[in-house]
Amino acid sequence: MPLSPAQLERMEYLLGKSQHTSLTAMEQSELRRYVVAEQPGAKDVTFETLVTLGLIIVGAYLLYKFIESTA
Amino acid sequence: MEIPDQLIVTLLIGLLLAVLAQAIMSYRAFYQHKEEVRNHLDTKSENIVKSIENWNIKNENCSIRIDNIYARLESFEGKQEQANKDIWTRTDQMERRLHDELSLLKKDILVLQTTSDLLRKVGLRGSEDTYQKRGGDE
Repeated sequence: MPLSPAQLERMEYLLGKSQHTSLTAMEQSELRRYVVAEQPGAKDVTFETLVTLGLIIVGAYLLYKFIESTA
Repeated sequence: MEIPDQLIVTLLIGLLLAVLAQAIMSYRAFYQHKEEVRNHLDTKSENIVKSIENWNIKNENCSIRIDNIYARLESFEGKQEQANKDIWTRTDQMERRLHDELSLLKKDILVLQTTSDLLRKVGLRGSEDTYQKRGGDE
């Protein structure tokens, strides 16, 4: 994965925050940077699509972690 | 003065001969003219006959050409009909293939939608937990 565990956790936090309140421009830019690192095609997508892609990436990461911990 | 009978007879005979000669010449001229007219008419008739023959030949050529055109037209119509059948056959094949591909695509999209929905839910829950663990806000 191109993102480090710390970056993924930060992404989780930003996505969780985005469900409760609107992110600042800097946070949005940071989130976009993480998502684009995983999916370069997301460079020019809307913020809503960016959040959806971010949630899918985080979901896959959590499943990966869960499978790794049970193995 | 008495005119001698011999002279009168001679004059009458001369007059008669002159009239006869004139009649013969007129007759001859009439026949010559008649012959010229006949020749002229013959020439004209021959020309007309030649023209009719030429016209008949042209007409025959035209008939042959028309027959050829009809033959080509029939051939073209046959080809067109065949082409129409081929096009419809291809269209049907393409439609069936597109339908099959569309079904596969719908299946793939459904699988992807389900997968992404599940991952999104997991991500949503995980990010919510992480956010709450950090006390809502940093």
